[in-house]
Amino acid sequence: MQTGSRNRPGEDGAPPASATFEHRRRRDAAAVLPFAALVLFVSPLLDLMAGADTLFGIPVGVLYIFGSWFALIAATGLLARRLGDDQER
Amino acid sequence: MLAWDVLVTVCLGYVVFLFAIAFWADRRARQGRFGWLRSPYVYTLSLSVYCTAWTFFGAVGTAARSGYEFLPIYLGPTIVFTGWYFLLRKLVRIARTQRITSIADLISSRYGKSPVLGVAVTLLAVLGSTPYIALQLKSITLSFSVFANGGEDAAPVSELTALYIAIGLAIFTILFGTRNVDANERHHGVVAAIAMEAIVKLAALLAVGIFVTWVLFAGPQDVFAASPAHLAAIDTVVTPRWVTLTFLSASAIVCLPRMFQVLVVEQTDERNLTTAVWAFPLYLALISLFVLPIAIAGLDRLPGEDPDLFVLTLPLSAGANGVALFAFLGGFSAATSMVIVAAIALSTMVSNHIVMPLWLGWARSKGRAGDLRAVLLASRRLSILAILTLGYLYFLVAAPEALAAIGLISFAAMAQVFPALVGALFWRGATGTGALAGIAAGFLIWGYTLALPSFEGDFLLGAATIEHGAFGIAALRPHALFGLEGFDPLTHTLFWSMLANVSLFVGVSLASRPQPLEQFQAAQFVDVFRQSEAAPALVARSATSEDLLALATRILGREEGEELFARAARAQGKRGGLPDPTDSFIEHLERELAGAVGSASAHELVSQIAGRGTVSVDGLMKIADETLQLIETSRRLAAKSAELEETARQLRHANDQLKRIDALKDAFLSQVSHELRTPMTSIRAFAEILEETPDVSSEEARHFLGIIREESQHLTRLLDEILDLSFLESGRVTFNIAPVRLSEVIDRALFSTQGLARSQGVTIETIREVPEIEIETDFDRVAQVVINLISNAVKYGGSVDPRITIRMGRDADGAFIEVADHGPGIPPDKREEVFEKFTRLSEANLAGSAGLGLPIAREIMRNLGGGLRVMPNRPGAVFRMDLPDRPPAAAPAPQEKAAKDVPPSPVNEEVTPAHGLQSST
Repeated sequence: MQTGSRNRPGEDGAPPASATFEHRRRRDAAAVLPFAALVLFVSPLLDLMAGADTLFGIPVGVLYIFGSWFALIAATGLLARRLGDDQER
Repeated sequence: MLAWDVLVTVCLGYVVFLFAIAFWADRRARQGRFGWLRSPYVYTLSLSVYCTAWTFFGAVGTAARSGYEFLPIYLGPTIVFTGWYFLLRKLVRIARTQRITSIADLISSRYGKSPVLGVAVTLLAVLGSTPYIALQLKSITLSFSVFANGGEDAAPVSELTALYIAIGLAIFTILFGTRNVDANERHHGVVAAIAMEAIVKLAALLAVGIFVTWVLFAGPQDVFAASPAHLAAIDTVVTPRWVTLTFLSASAIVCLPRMFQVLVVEQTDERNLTTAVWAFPLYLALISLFVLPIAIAGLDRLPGEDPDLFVLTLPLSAGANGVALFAFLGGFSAATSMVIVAAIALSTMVSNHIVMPLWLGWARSKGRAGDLRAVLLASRRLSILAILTLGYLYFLVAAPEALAAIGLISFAAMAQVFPALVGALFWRGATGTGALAGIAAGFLIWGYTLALPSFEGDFLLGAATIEHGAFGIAALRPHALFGLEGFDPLTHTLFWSMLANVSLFVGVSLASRPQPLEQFQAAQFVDVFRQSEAAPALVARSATSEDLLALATRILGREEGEELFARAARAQGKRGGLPDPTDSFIEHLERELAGAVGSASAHELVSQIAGRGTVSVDGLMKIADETLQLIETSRRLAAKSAELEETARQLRHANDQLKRIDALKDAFLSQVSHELRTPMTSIRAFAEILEETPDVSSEEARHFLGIIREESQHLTRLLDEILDLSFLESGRVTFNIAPVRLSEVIDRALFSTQGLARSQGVTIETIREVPEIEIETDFDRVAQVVINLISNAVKYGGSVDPRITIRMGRDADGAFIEVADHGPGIPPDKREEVFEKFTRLSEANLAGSAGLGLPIAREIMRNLGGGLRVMPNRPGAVFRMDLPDRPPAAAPAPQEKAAKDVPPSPVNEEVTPAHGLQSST
């Protein structure tokens, strides 16, 4: 787990943040993900969504579960790539 | 209907294809041309051994019966993978640095390379997995029987098929799984074949899903419109069972022997994880995408048929033989890949943790030291055969209905390892005793409340016991332990087993003390990311390099053993020959051997040669490392900052003093210049009068010249006094020390002041102590002080009772001379002020001193080692000179004096100029 002291220009004109800070932010985001997954899949939120309602003929519960699933996959993938880059340095 | 021989031909062709892939991949790996074998996608696909035939067929069955309930099995792993950065990454890194070969090895290694824990986890894994293997055999025969239903009797076919398949799997596993004793326990051929099978099963399920959704139905809306009532309206999804299933599958993804094998042991590159963490959940999402549509379609089109086989029967009944055949191969792939990897993982565990220690003990008692490699390989192969045989036997004897529940029962068994695993990674204080207690308790509860009752009274637990509890005690009913009712058996078991497991694990860990080796391993595991690769050796051991090489070749083979030693020698900076048997090399070797035989056995083997050794100081330091280092660092930092604070405080103090001294100096200078200007002004004024007034009378002129002379004398005296004071204050005055009689000093002073006294009408009386007091001091200087005091007394003593008393003597404070007048005295708050420069006590008497007499007198006394003070409680002013018997050996250093004497009380600074000003106007 190495973090360079190299500075990167921040996005949208923000002051450049250090790589260490960026890495910590990604790590914190990575820590949030499993809890987000828990809330999405093992909480009354799911009960709320899994009713008899349908959207375009498909149960809302199914759309909710697979939608959340793919969103989590995308978030994990993006973060993993960044964190993997951090690790390489 | 598909012809039976076509099915068998395709199946055999597929098997040959898999063998070819495995063979080819193995050869490539051996030639060092890894290429895509190390690709993150191959790694991801190999993880799909998680999806067995039970999930391939059973997920649809579960969905058909209870809707969303098939999902937690996939959502649990997804949750774990989203948190990969904290769990999986650490697990993989630890396994790589410690050369971990299995889940049992991990637990054993972390808890002090404990052989007992290795055995316990191995037994648990075998008990949990063998029925699961039986389940795979069952699913394959079931799927065969679907196709064979054409006419022949299904039963004998299925049993024989299962046997053939078990034999085929054994051959494949032994061929590619135990080709060599790899120091890394990696099987590239197996992984390649499994990756292929992963593609086949995903593609097959997607094909069936697409066929069902768009061929049998007119799209997903059409399918969901056909939902039966019990699937369409689900009130609560998140039930206790849902939570249980999620937890079970989350723990299974790391704890199941086969999952640990592909996820951790077969891992070729840590960076692959960053791909797998999103790709594997994607695989799971895709494989579950069509589960609900297939289930709904099956319920709609094939009511009354076994929902577990909808994946096959739906395309078959529609006449889509190609899709059915593909689905069959998918299920076959799912079943075989699970069996192969499970058999490899279990055989590694059994041979490393059960066979090897037994054999080592036996060989030692017989005094034999043969080729361990052969033993290891043989034990692996036999273990594989034994495990598959066990699975087959279980398949034969167990009731078919009991098999359905096996999947989750198996998960629940391995979940008992989960607390110990998490503790191993994150809790330094977790001990082997605690882990063993937790696992044992969890295992007992699992067996009593879940595994044994699943035989429905056919095995160990009778039907009566299951119904009414052991010995008829209601509190011991397996499905309602301690009266806990209203939960399904799985949730019930998981609650009690985890409660017992975790509380014993934590409680016993807190109560027990870990062994040094255990503490060392705990540090290595928990702080894996903070450790350098080359950890210092814990144990100081000694062995000859030759013995160690012999051991290494016995386990790794000649070629690999020699290669290992050559590398180590190069690392030690040697050009050739054997490496030195240093502690760290022995430790390194032990770890390399652990990659083949497991950490506990490797430890035992190396200890047989090098001895148990003593725990080295370096090792202990390492144990106490990170945390203590942190504490130490912060403690040092705190000390540093305290030091800094102290320095800053001193600096501030010094600065304040300097400022005060500076202010004093300014005040003094302005005072001096003022004092000098006053006589100068009058001299200049009278000189100007004399010059500018032509007709000045000679009498007037004499008067003016008299004033000028007087003022000049005043000026000279002032300059002399300033000079004298500055010399005294800087300690640059040399004294003329000699034996001095005090009465002689007084006589001299009286003589000098008699004129002054007479002119003021003052009488002076002296009280002399007998015998004569003689001290060593500077006669002239002491006399100067007495003279100064007498003239002060004459000046300020007042005119009511103009009398001065001089007393000399010796008391507790030493020799002294006192000069007392009978005037108004000095008010207490002015007693220190009189020693300030340019101070005059009243404006009444202006003549004479410039106000430096007393400061000079005090400086003289101090320089001589004594003091000058104003005594209280007498009528009139009393000055007392303290006279030491001899002056201090060395004159006090200037700076020392400056620091001691300079700061006066702040009052003086204000008062002094005022007095000075008044005195001169």
